Amino acid sequence: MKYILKINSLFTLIMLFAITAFSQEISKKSVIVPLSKPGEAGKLYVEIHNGSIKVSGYEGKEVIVVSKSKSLESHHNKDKNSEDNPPEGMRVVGNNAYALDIIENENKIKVDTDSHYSSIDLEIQVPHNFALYLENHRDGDIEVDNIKGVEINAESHQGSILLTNVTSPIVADTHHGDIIVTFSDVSSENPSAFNSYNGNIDLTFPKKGNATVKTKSERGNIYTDMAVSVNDSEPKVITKSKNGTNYYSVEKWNYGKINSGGPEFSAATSKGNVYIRVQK
Amino acid sequence: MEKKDLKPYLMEFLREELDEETKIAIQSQLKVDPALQEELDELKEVFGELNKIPSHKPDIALKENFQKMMEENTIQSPGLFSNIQHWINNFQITISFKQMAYAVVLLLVGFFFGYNQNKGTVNAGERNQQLSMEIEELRKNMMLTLLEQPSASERIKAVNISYDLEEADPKVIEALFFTLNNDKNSNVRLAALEALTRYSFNKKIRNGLTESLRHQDKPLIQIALIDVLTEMHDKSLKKEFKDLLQQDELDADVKEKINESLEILM
Amino acid sequence: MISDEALMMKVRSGDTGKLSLLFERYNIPIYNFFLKFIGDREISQDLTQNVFFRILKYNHSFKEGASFKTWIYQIARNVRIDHYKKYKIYNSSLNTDNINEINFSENHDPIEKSEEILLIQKALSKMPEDKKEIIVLSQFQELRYKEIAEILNITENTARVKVHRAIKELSVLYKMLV
Repeated sequence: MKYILKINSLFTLIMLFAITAFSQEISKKSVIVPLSKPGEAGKLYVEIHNGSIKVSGYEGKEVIVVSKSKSLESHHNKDKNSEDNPPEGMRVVGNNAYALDIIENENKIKVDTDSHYSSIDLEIQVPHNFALYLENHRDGDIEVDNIKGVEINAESHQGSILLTNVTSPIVADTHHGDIIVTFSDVSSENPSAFNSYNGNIDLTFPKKGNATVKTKSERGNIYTDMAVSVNDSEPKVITKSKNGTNYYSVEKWNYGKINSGGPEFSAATSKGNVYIRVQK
Repeated sequence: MEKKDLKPYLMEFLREELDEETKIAIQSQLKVDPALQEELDELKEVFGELNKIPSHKPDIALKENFQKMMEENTIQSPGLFSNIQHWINNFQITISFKQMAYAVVLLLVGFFFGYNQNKGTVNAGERNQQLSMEIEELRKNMMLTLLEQPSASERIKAVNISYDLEEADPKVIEALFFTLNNDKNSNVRLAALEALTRYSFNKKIRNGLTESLRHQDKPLIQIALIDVLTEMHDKSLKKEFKDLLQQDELDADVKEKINESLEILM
Repeated sequence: MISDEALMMKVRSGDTGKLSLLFERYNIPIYNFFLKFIGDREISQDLTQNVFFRILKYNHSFKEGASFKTWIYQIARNVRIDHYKKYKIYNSSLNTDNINEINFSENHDPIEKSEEILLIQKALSKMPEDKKEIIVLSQFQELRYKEIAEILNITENTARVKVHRAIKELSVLYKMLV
């Protein structure tokens, strides 16, 4: 099942879909969202509960959203009440349907869903200069490639975050997954930050990029390339004092420079490893 | 002929909030469209029912507490710098870090000239001291403004500016706590936590961090907070941690962390 | 009458005493906003107090030209969300057994005890949190779509469609109970 929808409006475009997705049935939708200001930079906000988000930059002037969904019967609390058996002639309008809302306003696009029960995989194509704000509350990976010159924010819980051919600044975190980033450019003056609890953080910098890296792993190791100059002095002890009492704490961060150093890239994980690489 | 769906306008129709054109469109459609009429009747019924749910008045305690709050809030006369802060706040979110930096430089140049012209008698030492105070103040305001930026990276930068401030200004501390407890982005919250950790010798800050534990729902941040709190070796935390362990939906990693911390605190 | 916005701008510029007037205008609707969700009078009062506390504390974040009404509801929303986070009762909302007890325990007006109201409240309590919110805002607080749209940060048309959908769902739930 596939629809192509194309609507033009000068300022605002709203598309609302309510699809009844029965258990295990997979429905697929493809939507082309024209932009209010074609060719100009924009922003994409995506927030879903379950499912993957994949965003690719491409040479186009529209945003294309493809969604695939199937409901997750296991998440459905069956004995909660009698809604599963509506009286004759009645239907349930809320529970088994999921709605995907896409709103475009002045090149800002918001994609979200109110469903907690369905798994929705999104594949979105945007022009290269679209800033991304991606959030996934439970399961599913976040993947991004070919985005240039804008900020990317990605938050996941179970999933990994894979960013390829992207530019700084990037702010990303996940609890269980890995964060793997390959930068094509790191010249933005703004800081980037990466955090995972159980996963690895693996950053690959461009050969000529200048950056200061700040890394920390509580139980894992930190690996760096030959091209990274690591400040391997003893851990700094910070003294804080107030009213004659001194408090000490040990600085846990490791600092390193790529080429001449530059904006800060911090990477922290508790149980995973940190890898800092420079493209050969 | 394409017609716009009139159903979503029925509520405004009932409340007589519609423009003339849509109102007439609905009135004429109602005459020929029994389904729309049915929809309207249904709405009327639901609204009628909803209207029967009463509103309540809060008791007098609410007003008393409000008045107490107002009395506790000492009124400060707005000085020069709060005016500057206003001015900065009014720039809102469109200002970039670079523009901000230029503004700071321009202001500093302006102050410098001002002092040279008007206060030629003030000695150089005082002048420098005054100037560094002003730089500190501007840095602080820059940080507070940047914290309102929509970009997470800008907000992390704002938090990092707090490291350049020598004094723990109450406004800065408050802003850092607000960020720790409310910022949408976990990395920004973690950055705020780290910045606050420097002041953890202060009992108030420690209490604030303990309190924050109850606000956090992301395991990543809960764990980082537990780490920081454990480092303070405050025995009173044991109860706090044990309470947290009682929560049903507590993440397994957080549970593990608390148990480790409890052993350390023993 | 001085507009809400003019009063708030005075509060912002240091004349915090003007907040008392805003309190007079808004404490009852904000209190009822919380009461519809939480059902508990004391908690609703605390949260109302919290809203005015935040206004005082973060007065500088009120932007010139913004609507005070939508701003205060945005704050109330955040206060409510924080409250839920704190007690981890996200979507479970109130269970229907509680709502009867809580909302009717202090009612002396016999009309309010009638069977029908019980049903509509029951139906309302079965709604998902976000839809319930939109009904509370549009029906009990009598906000217009434009204001709801601003509070929820969506477009006016989305607000209109969302309210419509929510009311529709409520009426189906209600009929199932009747």
